[in-house]
Amino acid sequence: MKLDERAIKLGPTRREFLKAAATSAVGLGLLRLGWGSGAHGAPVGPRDLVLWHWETPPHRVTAYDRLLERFRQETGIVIRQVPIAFPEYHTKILTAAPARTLPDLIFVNPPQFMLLLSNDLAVPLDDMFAELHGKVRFFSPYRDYEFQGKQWGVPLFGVSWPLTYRRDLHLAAGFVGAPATWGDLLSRAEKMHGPDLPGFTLPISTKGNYGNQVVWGFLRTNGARIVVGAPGKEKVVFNSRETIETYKFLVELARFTGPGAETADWASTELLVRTGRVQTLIYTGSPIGDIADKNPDLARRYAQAPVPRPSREHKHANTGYARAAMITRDAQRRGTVAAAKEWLRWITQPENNAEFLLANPGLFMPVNHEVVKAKIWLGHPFNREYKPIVHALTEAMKHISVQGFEDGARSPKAAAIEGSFMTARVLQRIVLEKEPVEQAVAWGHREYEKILGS
Amino acid sequence: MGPSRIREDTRQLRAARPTVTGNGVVSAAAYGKPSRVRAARWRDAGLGYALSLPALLWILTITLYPIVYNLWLSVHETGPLLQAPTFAGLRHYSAILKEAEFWKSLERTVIWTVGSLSATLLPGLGLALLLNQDFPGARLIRTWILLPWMFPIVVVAMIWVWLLEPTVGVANYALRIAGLTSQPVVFLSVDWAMVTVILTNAWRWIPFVAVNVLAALMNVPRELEDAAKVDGAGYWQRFRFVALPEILPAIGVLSLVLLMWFFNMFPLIWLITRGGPADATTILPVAIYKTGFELFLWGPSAALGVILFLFVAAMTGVYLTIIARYRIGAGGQW
Repeated sequence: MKLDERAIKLGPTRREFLKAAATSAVGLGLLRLGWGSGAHGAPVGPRDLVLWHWETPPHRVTAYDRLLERFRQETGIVIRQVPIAFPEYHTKILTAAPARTLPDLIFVNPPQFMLLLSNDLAVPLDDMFAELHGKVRFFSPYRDYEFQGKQWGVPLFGVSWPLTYRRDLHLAAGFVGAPATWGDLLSRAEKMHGPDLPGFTLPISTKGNYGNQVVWGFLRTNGARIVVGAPGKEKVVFNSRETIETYKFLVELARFTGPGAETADWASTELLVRTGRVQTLIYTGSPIGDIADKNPDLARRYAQAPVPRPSREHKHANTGYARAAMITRDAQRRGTVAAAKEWLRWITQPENNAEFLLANPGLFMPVNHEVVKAKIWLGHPFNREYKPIVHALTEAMKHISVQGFEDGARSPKAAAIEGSFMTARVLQRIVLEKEPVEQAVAWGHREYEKILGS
Repeated sequence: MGPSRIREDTRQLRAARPTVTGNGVVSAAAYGKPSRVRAARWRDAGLGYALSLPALLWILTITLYPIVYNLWLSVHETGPLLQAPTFAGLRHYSAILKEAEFWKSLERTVIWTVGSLSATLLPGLGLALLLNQDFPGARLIRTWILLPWMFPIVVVAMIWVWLLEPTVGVANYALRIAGLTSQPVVFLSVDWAMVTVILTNAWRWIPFVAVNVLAALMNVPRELEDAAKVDGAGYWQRFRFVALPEILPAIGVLSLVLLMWFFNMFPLIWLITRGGPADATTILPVAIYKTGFELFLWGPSAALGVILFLFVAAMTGVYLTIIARYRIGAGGQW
């Protein structure tokens, strides 16, 4: 008998076949019971996921790695993080989407959320969100990720841009507490302005988003808006009395800004805060969190408060983002949605979420009521020592406003609206190019119309 | 000894050079009979085509496709991702040409290009002449001079951004210590930003020009220099009538390449100013990026790209014509 004929004859016997089938069944059963199900008992499918975010500083990446490793140990699900620099984030999404190489999980601000949603690249998270909301009660900005009656993103952390000021210098100038109104701010800036330290560090810059974010905070305290109306049918309302009033105030404030305001960006301004070369400005708590260890004497001199309003009757408002995680259509195609949801449930648990926020103390703020009570959050040295600052930043998370999302608007062009840095560009035209306020605002209005009409 | 004598002597010495020229072209006489010459030429040409085919195909794939796609985008109304494109004809082009912003960007692009070219070529040439002298440490300097060019462009941009920072930058500190200024100098203000980015660009490219010109200078035949010396030519005359004609081809090619690079250059300005303040440094490549990736207006962005391409092509054509005329005027010599 030839070897190949014998091999055919020696194929599995009936008994061997039954044995193999039984082993497979037991194996599959074990898989279903143990490794194949998440902590909530649902099958999680493929267990190797990718997460995109833009938190590129090494200490944040390291902190995320630590958390993701703990998640892997607890659930067996591997999540690999891909930090992408923020300026490239949109471009990466735009190029990955047609190539179907979007990650399973992606961190977004509202503008990126609309970018994904308007191109049908996201998976709705209604059921899971209702369950999570019941447990942790998200702050109201979670609604920024609501669209057409569905919830598409789970807010995980927030960043807000309140007023930051040197309490010691304000006290030395005879001012107690933070300036509360535009009038207060202006009179303090005028009195405190000097050759070494500007009265108010106002960016008149389109180098990055910083100038745009500062101007937007002031515009919102006066109730100014860019768009109104249903998604896709929005109308530009930028050219308004509120907008013009705000720019007139900012022109006054610009008299007391420092050298280099024309090209100020996040990095250059952060350096000024870290070296104590500011008296009053709009900034996050990040630099204070960073110098709390290295230069506690300086860190303790800073305080934060709400962005001054036109009057005490006006509502509080500031630039800020409740940053959410979304699950992509590509995850659905790859069968990783269940595993991705598993992670969202895990990271929303107060203690885990607190650890996540502490990847950068002073910068990442809570977006729900439960994490504020978490032991890890309350017990962290920075949060204990700088309680008023953390409180101010957390409160600011309740008054955040995003361009293209004001007062319930949901512009599909939000990414382009914010990305145009138009509010800062208008300020540049007024301050640097000496254009009349009304004319510059009308120009900005037309530019927004161009963006929406494209 | 007059310039005409020096020029004549130099011409005779050049004419006496071997038949195999510097760029490897062998004269026909070296092959013998005309039929053999033709066969040898075909053989060489065939081999040449075969060897360059893979590279040619690769270049066509990575350049032709984007060019064609960009042309298509420029006549369509489309945006990011999955929006269905609609035919827009030449609407984007006519809109761009009517916009004052476009003409301002073009003006800035010309200022940037001509400014960068002048600020790079002249000091680069001067530096090359200096390094062509023998002095202690010359070799070391020739090697290290390339350092600014070897830095990644991001590093160069960051170095200068921080050096020139008005409040905590070293440049302002030095100016203040030296008693030259009492107020901080804002190098990146609306009025000075373009000058600053041009000088930063020059800082990076001067060594590159210097090394290339130096290589050309070192190839100037010694006998030409010696003959001019014997004829009593001074340093300036030797440079004008002996060295300059020899290095002019290198300078010509360099300036053509730099002209195209500078006209198209994006990263340095983007990293230092992002086109600001108040668009003071928004040259065409920056405007293209802003339109495409900040405003997501892909059709107009692509149309701007095509216009930029046409300008560069036209400039290159004019430049090559001038060079060709110069060569003919100089009797085939540079």
